[in-house]
Amino acid sequence: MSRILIIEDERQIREVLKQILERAGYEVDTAEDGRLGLEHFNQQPADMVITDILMPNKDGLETIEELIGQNPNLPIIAISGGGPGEKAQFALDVAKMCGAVRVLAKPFSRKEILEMVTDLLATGG
Amino acid sequence: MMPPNDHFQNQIQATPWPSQSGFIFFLLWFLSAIAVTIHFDVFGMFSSWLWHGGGGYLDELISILLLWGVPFMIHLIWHLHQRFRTLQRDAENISQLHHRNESILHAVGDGLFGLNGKGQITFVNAAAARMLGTASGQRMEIEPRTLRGAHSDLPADPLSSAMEHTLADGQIRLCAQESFYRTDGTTFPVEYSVTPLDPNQPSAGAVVTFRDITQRLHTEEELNRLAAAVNQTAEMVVIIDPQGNILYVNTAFETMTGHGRHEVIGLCILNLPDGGLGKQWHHQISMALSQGIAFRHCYPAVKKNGSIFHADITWSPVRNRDGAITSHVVVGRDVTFELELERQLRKSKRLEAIGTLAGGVAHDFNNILTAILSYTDLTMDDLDPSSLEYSNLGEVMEAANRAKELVKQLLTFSRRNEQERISLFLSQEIKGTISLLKAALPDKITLEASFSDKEDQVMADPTRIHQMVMNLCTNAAEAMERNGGVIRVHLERILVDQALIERHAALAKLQPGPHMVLSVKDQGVGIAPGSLDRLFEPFFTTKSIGKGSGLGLSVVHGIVQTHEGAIKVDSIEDQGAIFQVFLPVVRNPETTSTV
Repeated sequence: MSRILIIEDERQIREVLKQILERAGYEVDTAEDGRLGLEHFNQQPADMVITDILMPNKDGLETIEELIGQNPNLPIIAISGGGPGEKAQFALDVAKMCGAVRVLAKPFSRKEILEMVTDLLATGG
Repeated sequence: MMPPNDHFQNQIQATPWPSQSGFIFFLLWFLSAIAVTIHFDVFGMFSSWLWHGGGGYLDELISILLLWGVPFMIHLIWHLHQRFRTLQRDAENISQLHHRNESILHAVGDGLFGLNGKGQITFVNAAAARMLGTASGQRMEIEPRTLRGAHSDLPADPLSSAMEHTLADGQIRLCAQESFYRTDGTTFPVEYSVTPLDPNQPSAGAVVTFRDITQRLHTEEELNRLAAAVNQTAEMVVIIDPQGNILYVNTAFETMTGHGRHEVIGLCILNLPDGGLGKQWHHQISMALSQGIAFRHCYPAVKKNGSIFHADITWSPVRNRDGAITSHVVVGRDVTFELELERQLRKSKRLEAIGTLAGGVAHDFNNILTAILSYTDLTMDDLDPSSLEYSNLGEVMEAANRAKELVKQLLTFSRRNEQERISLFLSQEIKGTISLLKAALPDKITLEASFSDKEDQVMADPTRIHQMVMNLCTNAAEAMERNGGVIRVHLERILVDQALIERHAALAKLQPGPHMVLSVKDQGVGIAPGSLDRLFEPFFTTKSIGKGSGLGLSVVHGIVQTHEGAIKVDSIEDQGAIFQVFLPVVRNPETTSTV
């Protein structure tokens, strides 16, 4: 079964994502910010990473860059609560530029995130 | 197999003289004649006949003459006949040999002509006739000098060509390149050799063998052009044999790596410095060498002086017509500069993105809504859809979705209002903010402001300008919290030119033209060199917990970005820092734009 690492500073979102993915049968690890996320990944590599963008210590964009630098083929989903409009889209576009293969704006539904994860793990992006 | 000339030679020598049967006949006759002569005492009879005045013995003498002379005549006639037949056969053989030699000469692909001692052409084979534009075998009254198109206009030095020299001294000569004239006056390049017919008698003539090298020169020119292009191209080119040994490197390789070609040619590519990718690099090369796999890879490489550069290389096998690999060619480009630009662009975009996210409330709203919607959804999944709990949570979901729509509308409205930019006098906005700040600053920190230009109209959102000045001054005050000091705010108008933009990476996004520059200088603790790069990142702070959110400067960065400006920081640790914000001066003060 695929292992997924969730990097998210908001505890509630981190926990609910963990529950959603575990119920779908995935093994899930979590980290509270980019720095901890990278440390965790180095100790326990995952098949996929889902990361927030705006986080303390190390933001999601820099985290994506570093993960891709070390693992060029790692599928990464960037999620952001930047709200509707150009700001959020801009941040998500930059996330793609940094190496994320998919992006998802908050709030998202359980169905949306599950479909994205399933598709990405099947196709690799 | 016997060479043709030997064959003819043998044919000529195969006729013996005298013939064997003739010799035996002659021997028998001679012995018989000797026997008869002795028997009849011929010499006695002959001497008596002479002594007695020719009387007597006449019949005997006639008999003896017949005995000696008739067989001799018979043999002579027979021998002459044989000899005639031999000569006839030899003449036929010589004619045949001549004909075949001529055929061979005409069949030769190279041009060939004979020269007499005066330098006149006495024989031209078919190839030469074709190339010179004359009939084969034709005798040409041409001096060899006239064949040298390239040098025919030289002063009349009679021994200035290889042919003339050979006719003079009997030495064989080779000429790598000259031009010959055709009979129609056009020229063509040739290589030729001159061989004297008799080295001991140069004036006997010579044979000139030549070859039209037009095609070869074209091929050489093409090869030289290709070689020059490969050698002088900006991309490094390395050619490697199937075992991995370097056969060729071009000038760009030497420039990029610092290694001279004499240092690397003959070395195995696997023994070159790999820049730390070690196993991966070696594995790819090994696969490419053993299986003929082409690949493209960007990797850090080490120069001779130890510095690192990034090379984007393409490795391709070179195959012959049978599909066998004859060599490998590696073409590489130094992409260090491009990667650095890309990194800077990504960093700039990253900061801009994070700055805009950090400056809004949408992030928090949407996080809350994500939690409400997702937990509700999960819980409903565990319930019986016909239960009251399921129905109640359905109401929560509906309310949360309405909230989601409402947030979307509010943010859209807010975004429209928040970012309205108008033409404003920057000094007036800053003065208003500074008066508020002065009241809020501790006693040991003073704030001095100066404005050097009145033409300071910029297109800006006043709320954002207020927020930017507040954040910059608050940041300065926090840096001087311990010892106090003076914060100096200065506004001036400068002309930003291309040279200034190129000199400072932080100003890379500016367009040349007039700009207002707001400087905020403090006397605080300064910024450590290692922190300068991360200064505008959200949540980055050097302050103790509770003293700063770490968002202030990232918000400033975001505001500057949305105003098409730039921000530059200079600092000396323990001596303070200066932040300079560049905002473009408005060109048409009446316009208002919404971003």
